[in-house]
Amino acid sequence: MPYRLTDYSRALRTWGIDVEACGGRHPFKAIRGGDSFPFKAHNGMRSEISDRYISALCERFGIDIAEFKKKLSE
Amino acid sequence: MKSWNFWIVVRRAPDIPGIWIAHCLDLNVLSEGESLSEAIESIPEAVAIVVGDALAAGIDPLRHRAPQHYWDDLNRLLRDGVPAGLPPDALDAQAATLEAVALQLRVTLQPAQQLPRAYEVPMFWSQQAAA
Repeated sequence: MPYRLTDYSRALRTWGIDVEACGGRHPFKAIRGGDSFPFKAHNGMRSEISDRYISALCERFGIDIAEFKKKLSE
Repeated sequence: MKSWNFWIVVRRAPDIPGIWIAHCLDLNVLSEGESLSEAIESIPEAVAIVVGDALAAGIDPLRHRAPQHYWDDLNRLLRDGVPAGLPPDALDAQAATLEAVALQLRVTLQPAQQLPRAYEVPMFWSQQAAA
Protein backbone atom coordinates (compact mmCIF):
# COMPACT_ATOMS: atom_id res chain seq x y z
CA MET A 1 0.00 0.00 0.00
CA PRO A 2 1.50 3.33 -0.99
CA TYR A 3 2.03 5.94 1.71
CA ARG A 4 1.12 9.61 1.43
CA LEU A 5 3.53 12.47 1.08
CA THR A 6 2.64 13.61 4.59
CA ASP A 7 3.92 10.24 5.86
CA TYR A 8 7.14 10.66 3.88
CA SER A 9 7.57 14.18 5.25
CA ARG A 10 7.12 13.03 8.84
CA ALA A 11 9.53 10.13 8.38
CA LEU A 12 12.16 12.27 6.65
CA ARG A 13 12.19 14.77 9.51
CA THR A 14 13.70 11.98 11.63
CA TRP A 15 16.82 12.37 9.53
CA GLY A 16 16.69 16.17 9.50
CA ILE A 17 15.34 16.35 5.96
CA ASP A 18 12.65 18.88 5.09
CA VAL A 19 9.97 18.58 2.43
CA GLU A 20 9.49 22.05 1.03
CA ALA A 21 7.43 23.73 -1.65
CA CYS A 22 8.94 23.58 -5.10
CA GLY A 23 7.35 24.57 -8.39
CA GLY A 24 6.06 23.50 -11.77
CA ARG A 25 5.00 19.88 -12.15
CA HIS A 26 6.77 18.96 -8.91
CA PRO A 27 5.19 21.02 -6.11
CA PHE A 28 7.38 19.52 -3.35
CA LYS A 29 10.92 18.35 -2.87
CA ALA A 30 12.85 16.76 -0.04
CA ILE A 31 16.10 18.64 0.40
CA ARG A 32 19.20 18.57 2.58
CA GLY A 33 22.20 20.55 1.50
CA GLY A 34 22.58 20.14 -2.24
CA ASP A 35 20.76 16.82 -2.32
CA SER A 36 17.15 17.13 -3.39
CA PHE A 37 14.40 14.72 -4.38
CA PRO A 38 11.28 16.12 -6.09
CA PHE A 39 7.76 14.75 -5.73
CA LYS A 40 5.05 15.16 -8.33
CA ALA A 41 2.28 15.45 -5.78
CA HIS A 42 -0.68 17.34 -7.17
CA ASN A 43 -3.00 16.32 -4.34
CA GLY A 44 -0.72 18.14 -1.94
CA MET A 45 0.64 16.39 1.11
CA ARG A 46 -2.12 13.78 0.81
CA SER A 47 -0.77 12.55 -2.52
CA GLU A 48 0.02 8.86 -2.69
CA ILE A 49 3.69 8.13 -3.34
CA SER A 50 4.58 4.80 -4.94
CA ASP A 51 6.88 2.47 -3.05
CA ARG A 52 9.13 2.67 -6.12
CA TYR A 53 10.38 5.99 -4.71
CA ILE A 54 11.59 4.59 -1.40
CA SER A 55 14.89 3.03 -2.42
CA ALA A 56 15.97 6.02 -4.52
CA LEU A 57 14.98 8.47 -1.79
CA CYS A 58 16.84 6.50 0.89
CA GLU A 59 19.94 6.13 -1.28
CA ARG A 60 20.01 9.85 -1.97
CA PHE A 61 19.97 10.78 1.68
CA GLY A 62 21.91 7.83 3.06
CA ILE A 63 18.95 6.39 4.95
CA ASP A 64 18.59 2.72 5.82
CA ILE A 65 15.57 1.48 3.85
CA ALA A 66 14.28 -0.80 6.61
CA GLU A 67 14.48 2.04 9.14
CA PHE A 68 12.69 4.38 6.77
CA LYS A 69 9.89 1.90 6.11
CA LYS A 70 9.52 1.44 9.85
CA LYS A 71 9.17 5.20 10.32
CA LEU A 72 6.69 5.42 7.45
CA SER A 73 4.41 2.90 9.08
CA GLU A 74 4.48 4.45 12.57
CA MET B 1 28.34 24.55 -22.55
CA LYS B 2 28.06 21.39 -20.45
CA SER B 3 25.54 18.72 -21.35
CA TRP B 4 24.69 15.22 -20.23
CA ASN B 5 22.76 12.28 -21.68
CA PHE B 6 20.65 10.57 -19.06
CA TRP B 7 18.96 7.18 -19.39
CA ILE B 8 15.28 7.04 -18.49
CA VAL B 9 13.20 3.87 -18.01
CA VAL B 10 9.42 4.17 -17.73
CA ARG B 11 7.26 1.46 -16.20
CA ARG B 12 3.89 1.15 -14.52
CA ALA B 13 3.79 1.86 -10.79
CA PRO B 14 3.47 -1.53 -9.11
CA ASP B 15 1.25 -0.20 -6.34
CA ILE B 16 -0.83 2.68 -7.80
CA PRO B 17 -3.13 1.71 -10.70
CA GLY B 18 -2.92 3.93 -13.78
CA ILE B 19 0.34 5.61 -12.85
CA TRP B 20 3.50 5.35 -14.96
CA ILE B 21 6.85 6.06 -13.28
CA ALA B 22 9.83 7.49 -15.16
CA HIS B 23 13.18 6.65 -13.55
CA CYS B 24 16.35 8.55 -14.44
CA LEU B 25 19.04 5.96 -13.77
CA ASP B 26 22.01 8.33 -13.92
CA LEU B 27 20.60 10.45 -11.09
CA ASN B 28 18.34 7.86 -9.41
CA VAL B 29 15.40 10.26 -9.41
CA LEU B 30 11.80 9.56 -10.42
CA SER B 31 8.73 11.30 -11.71
CA GLU B 32 5.36 10.05 -12.82
CA GLY B 33 2.21 10.64 -14.82
CA GLU B 34 -1.26 9.32 -15.40
CA SER B 35 -0.13 8.32 -18.88
CA LEU B 36 3.13 7.13 -20.34
CA SER B 37 3.65 10.40 -22.19
CA GLU B 38 2.93 12.45 -19.07
CA ALA B 39 5.57 10.49 -17.15
CA ILE B 40 8.08 11.08 -19.97
CA GLU B 41 7.22 14.77 -20.11
CA SER B 42 7.57 15.14 -16.34
CA ILE B 43 10.97 13.59 -15.78
CA PRO B 44 13.00 16.46 -17.31
CA GLU B 45 11.79 18.86 -14.63
CA ALA B 46 12.69 16.42 -11.84
CA VAL B 47 16.12 16.03 -13.43
CA ALA B 48 16.50 19.80 -13.67
CA ILE B 49 15.64 20.25 -9.98
CA VAL B 50 18.15 17.64 -8.85
CA VAL B 51 20.95 18.84 -11.12
CA GLY B 52 20.26 22.49 -10.36
CA ASP B 53 20.26 22.01 -6.58
CA ALA B 54 23.45 19.95 -6.70
CA LEU B 55 25.30 22.45 -8.87
CA ALA B 56 24.12 25.36 -6.74
CA ALA B 57 25.61 23.61 -3.69
CA GLY B 58 28.83 22.80 -5.57
CA ILE B 59 28.38 19.04 -5.49
CA ASP B 60 28.51 16.47 -8.28
CA PRO B 61 24.97 15.83 -9.56
CA LEU B 62 26.02 12.40 -10.83
CA ARG B 63 27.04 10.92 -7.49
CA HIS B 64 23.77 9.02 -6.97
CA ARG B 65 23.42 6.48 -9.76
CA ALA B 66 20.67 3.87 -9.60
CA PRO B 67 21.71 0.43 -8.32
CA GLN B 68 23.11 -2.05 -10.84
CA HIS B 69 19.95 -4.12 -11.20
CA TYR B 70 18.18 -1.12 -12.77
CA TRP B 71 21.01 -0.83 -15.31
CA ASP B 72 20.75 -4.55 -16.01
CA ASP B 73 17.06 -4.02 -16.65
CA LEU B 74 17.88 -1.18 -19.06
CA ASN B 75 20.42 -3.33 -20.88
CA ARG B 76 17.82 -6.09 -21.24
CA LEU B 77 15.37 -3.57 -22.60
CA LEU B 78 17.89 -2.23 -25.11
CA ARG B 79 18.89 -5.73 -26.16
CA ASP B 80 15.41 -7.23 -26.49
CA GLY B 81 13.20 -4.18 -27.03
CA VAL B 82 11.94 -2.67 -30.22
CA PRO B 83 13.46 0.63 -31.40
CA ALA B 84 10.63 3.11 -31.53
CA GLY B 85 11.14 6.37 -33.33
CA LEU B 86 7.91 7.81 -32.03
CA PRO B 87 7.12 10.90 -29.97
CA PRO B 88 6.01 10.13 -26.40
CA ASP B 89 2.34 10.94 -27.00
CA ALA B 90 2.20 8.41 -29.83
CA LEU B 91 3.16 5.73 -27.33
CA ASP B 92 0.00 6.28 -25.29
CA ALA B 93 -2.08 4.57 -27.94
CA GLN B 94 0.02 1.45 -27.43
CA ALA B 95 0.48 1.75 -23.68
CA ALA B 96 -1.90 -1.11 -22.87
CA THR B 97 0.52 -3.58 -24.42
CA LEU B 98 3.78 -2.02 -23.26
CA GLU B 99 5.91 -3.30 -20.42
CA ALA B 100 8.53 -0.58 -20.40
CA VAL B 101 10.04 2.24 -22.42
CA ALA B 102 13.64 3.45 -22.40
CA LEU B 103 14.87 6.74 -23.76
CA GLN B 104 17.70 9.16 -23.44
CA LEU B 105 17.27 12.68 -22.19
CA ARG B 106 19.79 15.34 -23.10
CA VAL B 107 20.22 18.06 -20.52
CA THR B 108 22.24 21.15 -21.33
CA LEU B 109 23.45 23.53 -18.68
CA GLN B 110 22.61 27.11 -19.55
CA PRO B 111 24.52 30.14 -18.22
CA ALA B 112 21.73 30.92 -15.75
CA GLN B 113 21.72 27.27 -14.65
CA GLN B 114 18.34 26.78 -16.24
CA LEU B 115 18.14 23.31 -17.63
CA PRO B 116 16.06 22.98 -20.77
CA ARG B 117 15.62 19.52 -22.15
CA ALA B 118 15.28 17.69 -25.39
CA TYR B 119 14.12 14.16 -25.96
CA GLU B 120 16.56 11.94 -27.70
CA VAL B 121 15.05 9.40 -30.01
CA PRO B 122 15.50 6.46 -30.45
CA MET B 123 13.41 5.13 -27.67
CA PHE B 124 13.05 1.43 -27.05
CA TRP B 125 10.06 -0.43 -25.73
CA SER B 126 9.28 -3.94 -24.76
CA GLN B 127 5.91 -5.60 -24.97
CA GLN B 128 4.03 -6.72 -21.91
CA ALA B 129 4.19 -10.46 -21.44
CA ALA B 130 0.98 -12.23 -22.38
CA ALA B 131 -1.09 -13.23 -19.33
